[in-house]
Amino acid sequence: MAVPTSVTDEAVTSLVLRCQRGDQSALEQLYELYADRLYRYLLARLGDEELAADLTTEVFVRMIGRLAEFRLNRQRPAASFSAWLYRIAANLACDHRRARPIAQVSLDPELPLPGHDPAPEAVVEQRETLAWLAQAIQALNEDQRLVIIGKFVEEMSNAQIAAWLGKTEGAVKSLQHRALRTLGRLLNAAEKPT
Amino acid sequence: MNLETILDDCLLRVQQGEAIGACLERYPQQAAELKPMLVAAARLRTLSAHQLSAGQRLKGQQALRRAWAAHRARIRPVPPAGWFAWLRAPVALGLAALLLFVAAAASTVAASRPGDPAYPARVTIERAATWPLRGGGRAAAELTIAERRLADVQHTGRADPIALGALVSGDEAAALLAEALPAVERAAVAERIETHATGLAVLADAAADDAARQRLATAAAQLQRLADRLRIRLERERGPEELNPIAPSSGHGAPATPRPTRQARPTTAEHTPRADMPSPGPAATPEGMPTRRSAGSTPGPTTVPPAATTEERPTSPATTAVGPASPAATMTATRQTDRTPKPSRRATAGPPTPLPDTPPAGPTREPAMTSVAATPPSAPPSQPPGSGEPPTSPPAPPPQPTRHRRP
Repeated sequence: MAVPTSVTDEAVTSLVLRCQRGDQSALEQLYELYADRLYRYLLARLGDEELAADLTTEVFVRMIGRLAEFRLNRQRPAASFSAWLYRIAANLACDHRRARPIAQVSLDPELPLPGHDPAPEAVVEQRETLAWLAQAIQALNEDQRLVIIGKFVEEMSNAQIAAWLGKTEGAVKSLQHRALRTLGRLLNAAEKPT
Repeated sequence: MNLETILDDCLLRVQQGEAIGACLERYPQQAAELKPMLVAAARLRTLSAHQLSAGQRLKGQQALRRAWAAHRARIRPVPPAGWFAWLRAPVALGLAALLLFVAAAASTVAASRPGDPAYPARVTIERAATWPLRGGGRAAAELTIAERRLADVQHTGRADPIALGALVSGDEAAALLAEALPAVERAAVAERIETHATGLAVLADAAADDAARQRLATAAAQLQRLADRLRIRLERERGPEELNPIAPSSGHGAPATPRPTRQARPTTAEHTPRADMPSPGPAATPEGMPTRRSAGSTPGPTTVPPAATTEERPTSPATTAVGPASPAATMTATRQTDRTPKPSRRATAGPPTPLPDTPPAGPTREPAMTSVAATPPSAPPSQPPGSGEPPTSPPAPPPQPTRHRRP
């Protein structure tokens, strides 16, 4: 994700204002900045690559429709715009989950950590891991989701997450601990039947 | 160290490349609790390698362009949020406050009365409304506004200098404008000014204190002079035309039927009978002399000789009350009732009265006022003869017998 590192407040302010004035190139630059991050968030929520890609596009389509109403927070423009986009993505994911619940996936505790092996077995394993992660993440609340996705998917520091979410570092650590404890419990529960 | 701190330390070490097992060995007491959390974190980290493929990216960009084009076709771009964007709300509030203030000020000014702080503004604004007008329209507007000032004085019962000044200046402007108007309109202007003078005279009589009486009387005298000046000009202009009609009737008793002079008007300066004037008794006033007063208050003069009829001219307040409706008219009528029994009023002056050496107010009226009598202000100039009107407004006034008589 790395919103605060690679996306400056000035750049986001300029791009958003240009986009609101009708500059299509600004829209394309915003897409380049945020598309992969939103894609990973949606993948973590839904566990389906194609679906995550489609919903990523849908996030930007919705952004176009609502951009005129959006007002940047002058204190933290990049964080406020990023939070707005993630909120759109979260709503889309919720809508989709309500329409198509994820099938229960049993996680093999001995399943090796997936790499980028194009072998068919690796692809299957990867899909199972994604599906289990999506199912486990579903058990978290939105703050916990954002903290662990920021920390382990976007590789942000606690300080960056705190700035992004408008929380203290202590609060971020606490949210991270509770989220991982929940995920670990789910992992243990998945191990026991096997 | 609490578990949150230990977990955070282990996560940092794993991120830097240390194995999960090595981390767990550092914290053997918390290892059982740490292990599932570190494994879950490791599985989450696998997501960081994912990104949109080139095909997915291209597909997304094309979809965005379509959505953008549709959006742009549907709505217009939002107005720029630049320098003045933050000013919109304050400016709107300021404009609203200004509008409220103007509305409140306008209503205050419109409702002001003599003595109010806003009254001078009301007088000025109302007078300014006449500036775009020209000619007769301007004169009529000036007179209308002067009547408002008179009404203000009458309603409040105060001899307000501002109201009186506006009244006099409005009538002066109307008189000045009337000099360029046709005779009929000029006569009407003179009549209205005279109405104002009469109204002020009535108020002066009723004034409680001397200062107010003095102010009212002065203003009334000024207006009377204005009206007189207009009438004199009218007579001078019409004189040659009416010399011929006068000649035959001059033998009818011109010396014996002097027409009322302007001093007969109840101007302030003449409200008290003058000692130097002969007391006009019944003999001095020819019977049936249709002075305006006799016509208005004693509706019985039916034996009016033709020559006398021609002499009739509006010299009394009753005549002036026929003018445009104004508060002064009512008061004038009341005053007329009061004055009727007074025989010493010069309005009924009969014999060729030697005019006083110094006229009390305004230019002394020439004895011959044929032209004015020919077009009484109270009667429309196109009044058909024999239309059943009382003898006070003859359709075609006979010649003036006193045309050549000088006191």
